[in-house]
Amino acid sequence: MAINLSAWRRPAFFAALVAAFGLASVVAVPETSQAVVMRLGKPDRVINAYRADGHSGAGLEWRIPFAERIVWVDRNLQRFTSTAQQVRSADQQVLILDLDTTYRVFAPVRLVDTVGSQDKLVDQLKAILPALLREELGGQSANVLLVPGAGGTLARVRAALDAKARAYGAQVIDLRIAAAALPEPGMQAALARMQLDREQRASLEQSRGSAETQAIIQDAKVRAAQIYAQSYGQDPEFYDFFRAMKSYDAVFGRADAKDKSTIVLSPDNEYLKQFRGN
Amino acid sequence: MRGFGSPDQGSKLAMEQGRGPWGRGAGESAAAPDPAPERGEGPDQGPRNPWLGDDEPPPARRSASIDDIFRGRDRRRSGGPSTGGPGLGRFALPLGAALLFGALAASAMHVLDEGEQGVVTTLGRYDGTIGPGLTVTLPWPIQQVSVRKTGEIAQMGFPAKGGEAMLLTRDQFLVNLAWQLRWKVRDLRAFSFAASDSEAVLRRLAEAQMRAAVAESPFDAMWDGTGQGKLQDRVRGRLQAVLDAYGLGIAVEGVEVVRADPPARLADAFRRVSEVREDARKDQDTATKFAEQTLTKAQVETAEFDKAYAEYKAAPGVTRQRIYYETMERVLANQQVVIGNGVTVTLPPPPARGAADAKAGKP
Repeated sequence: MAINLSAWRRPAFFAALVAAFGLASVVAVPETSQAVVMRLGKPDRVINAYRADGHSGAGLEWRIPFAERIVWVDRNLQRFTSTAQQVRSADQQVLILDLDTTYRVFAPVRLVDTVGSQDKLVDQLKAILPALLREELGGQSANVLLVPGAGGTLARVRAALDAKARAYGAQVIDLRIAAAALPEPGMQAALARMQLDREQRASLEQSRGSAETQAIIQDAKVRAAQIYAQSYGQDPEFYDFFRAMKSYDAVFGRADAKDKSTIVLSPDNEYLKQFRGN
Repeated sequence: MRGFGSPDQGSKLAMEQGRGPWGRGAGESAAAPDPAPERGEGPDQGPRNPWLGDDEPPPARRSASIDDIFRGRDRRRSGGPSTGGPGLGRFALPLGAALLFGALAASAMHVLDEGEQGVVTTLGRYDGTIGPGLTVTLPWPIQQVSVRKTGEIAQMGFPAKGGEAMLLTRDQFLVNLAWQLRWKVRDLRAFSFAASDSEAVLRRLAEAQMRAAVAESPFDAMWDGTGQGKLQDRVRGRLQAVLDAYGLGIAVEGVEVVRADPPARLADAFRRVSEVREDARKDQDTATKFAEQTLTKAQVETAEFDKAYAEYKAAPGVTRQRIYYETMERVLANQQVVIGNGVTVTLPPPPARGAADAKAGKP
């Protein structure tokens, strides 16, 4: 091999060597990651560490080739969900909650030193959470639990979890109940309650409906009576005469009542006053 | 570049025949220039360079060093399976170079449609946001562009798989709520970098907000729709606030409840209520109609009386007598009249009852 090394091969070899060395001595850090540089197994520095002011340190950075290893830690918001957390409320109702936790690693060196990786951090936080939930949410009534912030209890859980997380270099930003469900017995109870409520409502609607119907009819009758009274009250005596005439018309004057009655008129009758000729 | 490696058995065979290892390629023509001068190159060559086909372009066109590289390799490596056809082998190098160049050029040019934006990162670092049109960047792997539609409003449906999502209301009832979220990327940089999967974060936050907002409203307001507007506004406002606090670069355009149903198991009970409500409404309609009729009748009758009374008032005696005589005419003209004082009238037997009723009920 050495015999065949021509003049061009040597520079090529060295160029390749330099390139490999060069590549090994830089690291391209993306915006979304923090790079913990481990020099011989010990954290030495952090590239693109999280900063609250949003200043970015991403891009190309130097490292000592082969002596320095990179441990990647996410720089952006991370979240995990703790599903099916059972909480018994003050009114003895069991709720099954899904809790969504949002966190961010702000001290990656501490994270690497204490738990080693983000997965383990999540495991730790998930392990802590149920006890905190029982402690804080347990004393609340179910109604309070479900409203936003669960009446301030979620803020306390978040603070407690945050205190634990900070020991690992992470910050718990937000904690929310993503979903709340009732276990099967509670579900049945809720459904039964709804059923009963609907039945009550149906009978209520029914009675209210008939009451309203009656009210409408009564109201109409009263108003009609008022109209009659106002009109006829102008002259009750004339009303008596007028209504009697109408009544005679209705009974005897109808076409279909023709010749059904025989009317006996006394000669003294008012109608025959002129007939008598006096 | 291993594909360019040396040919082997083929070359040996070719040597025996005193020809190029690939023989005469398919593309070779009889009129090809005599390759002899080229073969003559490098007098100490044992196996001839297999890459040098008979119709190889003149050496001046090629890079001598590349030629030499392969020559060198040929010497080192003898034996091993033959790869590549004769034509391919010859064109592989320029072809590969062209492909590589093309790929790099393609990775440097970015044509974005209207409504699209791209985040440019230089070796991982944010380097700007590009808009529609052609943008030339440095090629991969130096600069990368990730493109996303930011102009149009995206929709997100809840529940995700179109299943049932039972939410607990304030009165501890269950409502099966289907709703949708319309949203938009407001700041692509924030959207790309603030969270690992901003869309998933948005989904979880929206779910949490809706769950909380439903827990604040009574069931009936959900179910009959009267509380839905308020619910939508609430979720929208709060979700936007949380998204802003997270710095996700997302704008919430709207929250709409698509459907709010009671649990399927209670459908009958709910239908019963609707039926009762419907019946009651019908009864009320009937009653209202009756009321209208009653009032109309009263108005018609009193109007008649009022008219007569007005006439009567103008001339009381005469009007009264006129009405009396007119009525009497109608009445007496219609019936049998007997005039007498103390006369005994023998009434005709009353008509059979049935016939009379039939007659009376006729009009």
